[in-house]
Amino acid sequence: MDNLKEKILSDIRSGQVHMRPRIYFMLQVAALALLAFVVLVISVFIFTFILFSIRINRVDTLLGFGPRGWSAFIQFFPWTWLLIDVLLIAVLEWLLRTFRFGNKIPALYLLAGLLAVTLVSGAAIDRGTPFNDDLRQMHAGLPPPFGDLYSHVRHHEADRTLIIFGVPPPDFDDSSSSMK
Amino acid sequence: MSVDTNSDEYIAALVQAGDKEAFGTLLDRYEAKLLRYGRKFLARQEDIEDIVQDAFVSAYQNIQSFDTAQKFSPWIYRIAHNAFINALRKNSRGPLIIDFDTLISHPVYDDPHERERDQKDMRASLDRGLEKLAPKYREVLALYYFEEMSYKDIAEVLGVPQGTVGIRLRRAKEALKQVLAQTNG
Repeated sequence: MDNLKEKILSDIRSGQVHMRPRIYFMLQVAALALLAFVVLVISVFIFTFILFSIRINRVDTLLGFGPRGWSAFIQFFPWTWLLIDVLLIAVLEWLLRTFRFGNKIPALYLLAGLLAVTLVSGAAIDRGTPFNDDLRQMHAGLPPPFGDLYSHVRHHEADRTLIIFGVPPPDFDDSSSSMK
Repeated sequence: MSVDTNSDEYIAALVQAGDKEAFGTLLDRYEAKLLRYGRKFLARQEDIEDIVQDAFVSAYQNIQSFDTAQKFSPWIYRIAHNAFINALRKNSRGPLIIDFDTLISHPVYDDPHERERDQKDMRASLDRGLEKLAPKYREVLALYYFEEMSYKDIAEVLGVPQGTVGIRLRRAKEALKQVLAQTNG
């Protein structure tokens, strides 16, 4: 037993084993906290964009058109963004569990809390502020990927009508068929 | 006052302040305990000693991250525990399993009288059946009955909510009963 103690102490005395400075741990905690904050901001942004996409395309109104409307809703819903958002929230949960308080909260409760924060903040930003509308208006001047994101957020009206009713609207300009 | 009569947390603060020799006192206090804890996970004495040595080295390297307002014991046990669990995983590669006990909260009641009542009986049972239990049951039983830790400290060591410790301990006792019944029957 004493061998183990003596070996460790001699390694410490000789400098083979050295103590990491306190600043290392402070920076580690600060970096983790910053990363968690950035991930939270991105996930709130993505959720507010999902809501904006639904609002501007009036995808929610599709639900009033019966089974065809539901099917169109499912087709138009931005599932990819939702999947990315869920993954980000999972990453956020994992990051928070590296902190002491993160271990004390049952995993499902922490996940529910993060979802609630993301959903409520996202909804508040989209419905309570002109954030998304302003970004869409100035999409040409936005840096990538925000410019592309907001310039393509609006679906073509014809796509929706085509999916719900199975026929194009009267003013639908189908260039591929007109070429025939 | 001699260093030996001071609390672990006070000695840890001395080490943090640069007193390298004070770490020797922590080694004296925890070496036998961690070796005993390691025997609940691994069979080979050399492996256990290597892991305990690595755990102490890691504890020294990271001692500045220890908050001296907290208890030192769960902190060092957690370092050793993670090292033992990693060694177990290396020996037996299995699929990643979600632990449903950690998902929701469970009511928790750490009754010292109940602990006193079944301490003696349980230790005898544990000696016979502990190694046949899954690691998640082994660790909680070892920490509760052999290391005599509170639910709060066990939760710190295992990195799970306190309620999970209570439910896991109950399930561990049931699993132990089944193992012993199979062995006897």
